[in-house]
Amino acid sequence: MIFNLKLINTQDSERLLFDIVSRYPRCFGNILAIMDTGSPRTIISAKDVFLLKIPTTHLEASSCIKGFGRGSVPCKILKNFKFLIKSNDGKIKYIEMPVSVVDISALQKMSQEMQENAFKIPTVIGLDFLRTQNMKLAVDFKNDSSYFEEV
Amino acid sequence: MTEQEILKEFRIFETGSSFIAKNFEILQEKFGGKFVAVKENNVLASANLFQEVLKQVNSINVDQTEVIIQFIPAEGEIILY
Repeated sequence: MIFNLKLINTQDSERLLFDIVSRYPRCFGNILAIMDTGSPRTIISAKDVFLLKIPTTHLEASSCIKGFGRGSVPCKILKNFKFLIKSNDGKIKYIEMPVSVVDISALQKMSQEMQENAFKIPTVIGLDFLRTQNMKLAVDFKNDSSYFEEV
Repeated sequence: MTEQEILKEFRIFETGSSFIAKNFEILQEKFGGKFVAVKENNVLASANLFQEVLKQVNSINVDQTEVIIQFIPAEGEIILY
């Protein structure tokens, strides 16, 4: 099966967008994620944790996310995040995999600037998605095409 | 929720995400450095802060789960995640 990504082809803003729909119990909703081959892990952003009301207090702590010069964002592990993706022929695939989620309660104790920056960061699909779901990633800027394909 | 309902939800969501991808340059010119709230082919709200844009979405009685809220980087700003 092939799952199309949406390519932002603007110079200096190139991005691979991927639509996922959360089916985690009581936290249903849409997530516009970014495929990030620089991230080993899939991380549900502060914005999406907040919007989907994903409870984080009972979860195990995980390593913090660190970026260049922006401090670190506290994270927890959600071992059984459930979500849906849609293939380009209209079939729904149900996925359950562990993801990191931004720890909103810990974030709220941090400085206003840190909180504002954390909310700007989108959910990222990391390399763990390709590994655990047996997917390969194809990106073709010339033909404005990108997709995941089940191996 | 039936598969048909899920597909319908996906279609609404995909219209919004396609709108963002296809119009990213225009969105960047108009809303660079801000959060936007998009539903299907419309920008419903924009603000400098996430909480502000969320307040605007709630004030127009739109279900926040049907809206895509996304930060649009300013022109010339390269963001690494």
